[in-house]
Amino acid sequence: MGEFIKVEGAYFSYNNSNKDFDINNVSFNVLPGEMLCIVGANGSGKSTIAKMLNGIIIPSKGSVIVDGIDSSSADLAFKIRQNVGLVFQNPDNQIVATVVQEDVAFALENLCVPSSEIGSIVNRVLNMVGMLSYKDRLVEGLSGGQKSKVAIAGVLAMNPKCIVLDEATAMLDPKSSYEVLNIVKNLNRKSNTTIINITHRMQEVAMADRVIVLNKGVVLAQGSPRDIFLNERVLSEAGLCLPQVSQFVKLLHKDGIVNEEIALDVDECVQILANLLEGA
Amino acid sequence: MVKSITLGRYFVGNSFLHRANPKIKILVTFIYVFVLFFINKICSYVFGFFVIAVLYKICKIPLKMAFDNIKSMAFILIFTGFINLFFGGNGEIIFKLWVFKITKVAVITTVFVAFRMFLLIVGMGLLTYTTLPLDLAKAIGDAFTPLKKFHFPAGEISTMISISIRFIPLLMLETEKIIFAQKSRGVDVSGKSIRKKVKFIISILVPLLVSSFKRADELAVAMESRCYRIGFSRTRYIVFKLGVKDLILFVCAIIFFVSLFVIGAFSWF
Repeated sequence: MGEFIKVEGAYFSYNNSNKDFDINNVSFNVLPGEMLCIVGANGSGKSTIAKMLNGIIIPSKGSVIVDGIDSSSADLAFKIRQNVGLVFQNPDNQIVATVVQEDVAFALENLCVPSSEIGSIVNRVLNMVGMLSYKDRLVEGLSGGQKSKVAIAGVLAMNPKCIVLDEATAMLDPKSSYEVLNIVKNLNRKSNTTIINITHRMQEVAMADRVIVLNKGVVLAQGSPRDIFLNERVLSEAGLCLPQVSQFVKLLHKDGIVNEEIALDVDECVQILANLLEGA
Repeated sequence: MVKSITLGRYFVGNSFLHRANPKIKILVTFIYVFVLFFINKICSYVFGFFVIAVLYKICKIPLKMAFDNIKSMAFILIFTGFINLFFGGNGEIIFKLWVFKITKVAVITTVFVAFRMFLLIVGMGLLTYTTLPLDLAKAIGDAFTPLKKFHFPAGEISTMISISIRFIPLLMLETEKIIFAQKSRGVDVSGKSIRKKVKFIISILVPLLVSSFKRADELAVAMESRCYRIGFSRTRYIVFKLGVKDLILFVCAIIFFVSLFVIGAFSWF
């Protein structure tokens, strides 16, 4: 299967420096329908990568190819943005209109979709994120989680092949965060939408097919969530911590209580404990 | 303080004016402003106010809100009145003190200007109270559309106004947060001297400006990522179509304007 996104030897510096790069020789591929997680501490270059994938930032060296289109070709950047939707951390800073349905329609208006067709698309995507009943509401009256769902709906309206979540759950409470991630997971499973979740919350990593660890603008490691969770050196170098359930099982393993080295999530931890109790 | 400003606020309702096409409302308001500066009979002004007061009643907007607008514009009104009174014209002097003189013509001009300003604010209030700010912004954008031929950025101006409206409550919230943060850090808010007041305002303005620029930057990136391009045409989700009711409203408005002139022509004051 050919890759959907190919980042090859990408360099970028916000200061236009030729030596001090914020993104330093980054290379990775994203497969169609894949659920990828990019993790890293603050300042590791995660958001810069997100903007690169959307064609907003063009690498000073190297290339970003999205669905066969090179992001450096200014004329086609528009096409890349249509294919790769970007959801940001603070929904307040990405919602343009005052009314929910008008904000969802914003991208469609930009794509010159005929006025008569916009309504049905808006209804469809709002239904997908469970916000159809809020379509006439003012954005101001919504909770953080609801605003995030509206932001996702605004991106979904473009019918993108890939959605990049740039720490989209960082400002949300656990319940809203869970709901947003569930929507994204369903999109990936049901519509085969490629998802790139950029985060520093390690508990979100477990749901990914593959993980890329970034540190100071460099790719430190790539692999399955399990491989990354087991790589203590990489985690410590990147300034990341394992989720509490993973730490718990790791301690049990260290003391020789369980055989499993790590648990990715609560379900896996429960299973390990159940097996342990059964054995006892 | 911010909550006391009523000018430019929308008053929720379902009257015929609330439902009318914003483009027609803007056009009627524009003609109204134009007409106001051509009528010069008190009788016409009184009739004009009577009609506007009836419209406020029909739209179920308390007339008090119109007067609140006058209060918030008091400084401009007093300043205009002062300039007109003391420098408003030559002729028979009725009062003189140093370089200041009040003439009979100036008094009459001041009275007329005061009436005009009063009717202007009260009438404009009717437009803003019955039209959602965003609809107003879109209608203004539509009004500028013919100027696109001359490379006038009509669409961009409409987007700009819409976004400004969207961010007003957010910036107000941000200001409140900054005030609380500065208070908790010991900034003196009760200082009565001008120096202390200026210091307090600066302590709010600087972080507010920084966060606003950051917000603007993030919004620009978000808009770009959602395929917004300056100078390119866009379609419109909500299109204001002219209906029969809008045409009736326009005709009624024209009758009102003509009657202002007719009343003026047949009255001696």
